[in-house]
Amino acid sequence: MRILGLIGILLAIGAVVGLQSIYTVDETEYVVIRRFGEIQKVNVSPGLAFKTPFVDNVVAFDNRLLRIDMPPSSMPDKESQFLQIDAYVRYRIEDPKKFLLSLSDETNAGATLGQIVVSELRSAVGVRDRKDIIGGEPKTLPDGTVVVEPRLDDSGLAARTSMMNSVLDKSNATVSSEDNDFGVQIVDVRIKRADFPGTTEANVFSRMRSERKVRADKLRAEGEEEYLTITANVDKNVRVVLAEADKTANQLKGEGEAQAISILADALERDPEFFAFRRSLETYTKVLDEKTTAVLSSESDLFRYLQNPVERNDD
Amino acid sequence: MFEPPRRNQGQDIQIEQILGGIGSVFGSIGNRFGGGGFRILVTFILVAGLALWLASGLYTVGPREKAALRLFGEFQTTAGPGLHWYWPTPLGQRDKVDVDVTRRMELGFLTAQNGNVQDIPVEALMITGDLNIVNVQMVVQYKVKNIEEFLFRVDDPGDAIRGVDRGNPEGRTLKDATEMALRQVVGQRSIDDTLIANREQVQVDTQLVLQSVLDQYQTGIQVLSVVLQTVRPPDEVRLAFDDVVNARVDKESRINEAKAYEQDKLPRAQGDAQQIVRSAEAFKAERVARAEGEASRFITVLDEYIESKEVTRRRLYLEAMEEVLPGITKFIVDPESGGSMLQFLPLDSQQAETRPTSSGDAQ
Repeated sequence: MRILGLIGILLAIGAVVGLQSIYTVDETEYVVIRRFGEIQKVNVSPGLAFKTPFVDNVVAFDNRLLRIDMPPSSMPDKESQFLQIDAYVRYRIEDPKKFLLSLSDETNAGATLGQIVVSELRSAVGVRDRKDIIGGEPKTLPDGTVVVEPRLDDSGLAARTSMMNSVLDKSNATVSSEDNDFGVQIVDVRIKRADFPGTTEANVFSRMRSERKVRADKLRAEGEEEYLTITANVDKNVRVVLAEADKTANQLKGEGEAQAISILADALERDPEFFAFRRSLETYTKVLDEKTTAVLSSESDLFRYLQNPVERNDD
Repeated sequence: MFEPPRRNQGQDIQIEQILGGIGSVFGSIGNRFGGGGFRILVTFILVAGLALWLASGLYTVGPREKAALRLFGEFQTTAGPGLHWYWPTPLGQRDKVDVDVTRRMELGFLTAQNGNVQDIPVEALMITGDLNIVNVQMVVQYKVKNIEEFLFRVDDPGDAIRGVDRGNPEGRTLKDATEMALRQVVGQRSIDDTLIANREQVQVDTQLVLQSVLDQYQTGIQVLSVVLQTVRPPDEVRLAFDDVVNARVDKESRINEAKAYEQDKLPRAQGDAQQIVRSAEAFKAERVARAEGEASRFITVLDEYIESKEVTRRRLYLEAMEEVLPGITKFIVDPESGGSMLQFLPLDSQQAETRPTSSGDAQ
């Protein structure tokens, strides 16, 4: 009975000691084993592991890709124009031991790394102009339309990418220097938003409005141009068509007259004397009217029988 | 959606302690009181507890789901749909993720549960490559392609508004990357490209940039589509942009007016031309016909004349005289009686009074 009780107590103690000598490392973690504050071991492989009971304690660090959200801040560019820049940083704890010694926890790391990156970003923005930061290269074509191509740096890389790479490299150089051996790797620095500050925004809007006005005016003027071009062309064509018609008409009339003349002439040529006689008679009937006074000789052929009813053909 | 894969070690150890403790305490109590029946009862409770604990390792994975299995925190494998058993808590951990469903994230606006749509200008307004400001609303559709990466590789503060838990890359990680990608793409384009001309290309490019960043971060997220919703100028300059649209319409309608003018004037002119030509043709035909008529009349008369020249000639002459002479004032003078034409001049002044007498004299 007593022995059994003793076994029970021993088992209980054994269980407590056993549980004290194991720990687990999660898939998402690094574990640092400290004995009275002194770092004994760094365990980066997930799963079950053993430690010295009671004296060793376990500190876990995230091994995932961590995020620092930097507060939006106003930064002047090369031309002292301000942009409101909202960026974020992704980093990873590479060496938990160094991390623990220098930054101790994620909150502190966020503040410290954030400061370093912001200062690199500020100096990167300060030596570039707005187009580098936004990333577009506007070009005005001869006809006045604006096209935008990606702004490239000297090596042909997109200007924004090249700026962010430079910020990333410089930040990494800083966080792994002798003074700041943080045991972290900055994986990415990105500008998620770059906006005009409130005061500039109004100017931008008024520029946008005036640009649009130019375009609207141009469109309307083009409409007028096309209208006048088309209608002038129509008017021209109308006049040409009518003139051509007149030309054809005159040709036809001329032909008609010519044919009429030749037809009549052909007929009349057969006896010009008879034609002259007949035509003269016709003319007399038309020309002589009641206003005409004729003095006729009684000797004329018409009146030959007036005084000499006898046939005198043989005279 | 799934348990945030945070470490629960402290709690785990407590449970183990409690379990172990219960076993030993019960054992020792049984031993102390020495009751055989009591010992059996204790043993039975322990065995039943163990069996229940083991049974809690049974789990099902839904037809669209996948489960990630961890033993002592270490990722082991994934399990597909069906009924499975795995080490129960605290030894094993199971995280189920719906890998089939198409998830959706809105940028620049937010559709609430009740369907109300709320604009989020700070997300939607961005600078274009020609330094204009444009308002873009976008929807990203995506799904989980790699559950291991999705669960264990990226930390994320989560997004309470969208109901995304801490540690899930769907939260700020996806949103950051989307905002960054869209702004980078829009920053390399003109406002006109973004507004009208090249929306498709903006979508394609944004998706490419976004996917490459998500892969770089090992989020395990597959972007299915990036769809621009409304793309419009900011409200402050809306009227100016609308006016350009109106101007384009004005231009079109002016051109249409001109075309209508053309459609009206040209056929009319051609009609007029036809009229002119036809009437000239009529004139020609008329002239020719008349000439032919006259000619044939002359020839007919001529034929008759040739047969009896003298008589016909005289007849024609007399007929003409009959027609001519009745209407006119006539003086018939005998040249042998010494009459000279001149004695009648001037004819006009005398004509009225002298006519009757003269006539009488003459007769």
